[in-house]
Amino acid sequence: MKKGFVRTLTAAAILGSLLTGCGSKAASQPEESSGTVQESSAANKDAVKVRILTRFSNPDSVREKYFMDMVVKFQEENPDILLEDVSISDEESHDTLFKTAVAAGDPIEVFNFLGYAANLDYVKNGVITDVSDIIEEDPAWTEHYIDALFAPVDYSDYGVEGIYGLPNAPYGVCCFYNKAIFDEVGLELPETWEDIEAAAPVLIEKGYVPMAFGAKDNYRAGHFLTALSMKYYGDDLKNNLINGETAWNGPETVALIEMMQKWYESGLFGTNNLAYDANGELAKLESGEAAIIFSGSWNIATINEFDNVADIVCKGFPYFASKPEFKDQWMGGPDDFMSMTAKPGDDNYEASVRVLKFFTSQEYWQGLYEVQGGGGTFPVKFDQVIEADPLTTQFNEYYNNAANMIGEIEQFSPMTSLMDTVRTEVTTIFADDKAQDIADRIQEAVDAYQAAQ
Amino acid sequence: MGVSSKRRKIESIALSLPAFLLYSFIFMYPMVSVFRLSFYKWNGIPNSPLQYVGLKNYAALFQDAKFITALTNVGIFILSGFILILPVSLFLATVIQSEGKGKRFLKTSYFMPQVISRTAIALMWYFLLYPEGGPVGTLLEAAGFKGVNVNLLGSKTYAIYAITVINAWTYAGFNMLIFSSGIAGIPGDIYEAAIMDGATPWQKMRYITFPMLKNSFQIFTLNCIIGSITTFEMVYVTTGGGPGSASEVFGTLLYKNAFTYNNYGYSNAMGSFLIVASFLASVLLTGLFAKSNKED
Repeated sequence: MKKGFVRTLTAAAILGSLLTGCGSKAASQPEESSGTVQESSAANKDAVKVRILTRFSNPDSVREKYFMDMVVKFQEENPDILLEDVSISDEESHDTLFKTAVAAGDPIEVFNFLGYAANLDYVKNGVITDVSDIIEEDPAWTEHYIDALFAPVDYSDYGVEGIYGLPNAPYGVCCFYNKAIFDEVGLELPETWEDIEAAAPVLIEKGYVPMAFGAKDNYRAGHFLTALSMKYYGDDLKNNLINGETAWNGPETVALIEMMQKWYESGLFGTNNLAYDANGELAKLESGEAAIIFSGSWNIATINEFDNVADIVCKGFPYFASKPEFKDQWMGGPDDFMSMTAKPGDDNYEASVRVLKFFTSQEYWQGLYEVQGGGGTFPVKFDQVIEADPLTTQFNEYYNNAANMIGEIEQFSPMTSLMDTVRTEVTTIFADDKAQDIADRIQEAVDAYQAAQ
Repeated sequence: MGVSSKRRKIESIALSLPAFLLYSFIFMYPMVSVFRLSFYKWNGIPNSPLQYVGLKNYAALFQDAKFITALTNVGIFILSGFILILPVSLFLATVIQSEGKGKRFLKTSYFMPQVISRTAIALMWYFLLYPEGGPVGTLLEAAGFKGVNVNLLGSKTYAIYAITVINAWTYAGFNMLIFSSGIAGIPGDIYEAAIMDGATPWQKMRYITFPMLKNSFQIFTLNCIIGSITTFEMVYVTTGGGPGSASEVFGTLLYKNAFTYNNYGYSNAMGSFLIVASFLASVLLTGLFAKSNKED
């Protein structure tokens, strides 16, 4: 009898300890986080938890370090909110984190949203919160914002009313030139593709990479294709591809990929492109290995920290001398948006709104503007203009002349997988694939998507 | 049935219930979910309705060129297991089981990759194979192979083979232990008798060691095939499945379809295929081994 009682008690104890173990961890211990959680707030048991997900986690980047500092500042000023920064610089990891959180039914409250048609599903299905009411209630919050930048988070064309985020990082693709190299070889800085093609053999002979292309990041190929298409066709190709009038394996797209292929084969992009990424491009520019890099305004602050910044010149993406009418057609505009998923009625709604407002406030942008010494591009206008660094000034000379500006072509398609497909396939020029094969594979993916609809 | 027996039954159920519930929750439930979702089209958004598509996701699998590439690559992984890992780990096992000094050091050294994170190994090899100044490229150049394209991970043709070499380096130590324990289990007097009969080292290996390592070979085969079907991190970190889709395996393809393309139904069909393939491989091989063991 006694033995039986002990057995039953043991079983109950094991069962009890298991259940208690499962239940008590969350209640008694703060959940571990990969990001920044300030101790002061962790100590406040009544603090409302809000997570923020951006692509700013690299303290070596001026812009990202500023964001990280502001997370600390927010936490100090708002002890009633436990702000958990789960940001991650890598684009793919950032997107995966957001998507898994959504799929698990626990979307991150404040995050970088990419906008455009490619992300329509998140808006249509109520994941992203319409912030138009909050904007209306507090007009001072957004009064300095540039209205045109809201277009990619306005889904009224798709029958969804509202505003689904605040512009976060307007950008423009551009090129950075190492003028010292061009001076050494006795060449003018080229502005057209024809000039670059002529300069390439001279640069290669002297041991320089004419234009470094870090294809390990597949977005480099996607950006390049769109930028090139704007200089060659304006936005006609984008419009025709998206509305289905032109196939991805049609002669227009194939011609662009062939151009890239020809430049790769001629050594214009250097070698071993699949072995290095966008940071590798910057390293090659700083080390004096590359004469030009194709990049964007988001890197101006980083390049300003280079030892050889005095040698660096910023120019627009090269145009074609034979297509002067498209000289001022750009890839750029609003990139990502600060959005939220918390809804009115949620426990953390008010806290999420405060977080959203803090990281999109005029004070936030003013601080970044000052930290970057007037450099970079911003979604807001400033009352007092800081005299910018030479790179920003040069960039703005081109940027301000832009007649038209679009994001990456695939962003305009509701086919979510199109962006990765195009980027991955175009990248294979660096593995010696042929342009027509690449274009055919993209079109096959589009056909398969349409057949499944 | 007596009272004591009934109570014992209740107790045994009560004792095993927590483990059963835990197992069901963390293993069975996700697996059933994978199968269920594979019959739907779903974009990963909870509010978005699941659209029943029957077997369409499975039909699409075999029309997907990337899936066929992944299937081929898994085949290459399995083959490389038998061509690279098997002989190397068997050789290492004989080395650490032989007489001689420094066996413990060798055993630890060979086993070392097993205790390092797969991601760290993949990154380490990524830099070893780095085409500009990486040690492998530098060595090749020093050996006189100048101008040779050593961008192995950036080559559509060679990337998958480069990964299988990394894979072999990683798993040879673990399989060495399997063979080593097999060799240790062979009675020494059999070898002594063979020596007295004038057997050469090769004959001892051929007629004693190999046949008596049958169980170790079976464990190796099972591990190799299931490990190849489920491989992921090594490919993901080194090439991401590229260039293009040249080094895709089931794991990378499944990951991309779910988390990059929001194509969760299709991804779950792939996951179901993976589970069934692993299960079938396991059952078939176990059955074959059991039959073979019975015949012996």
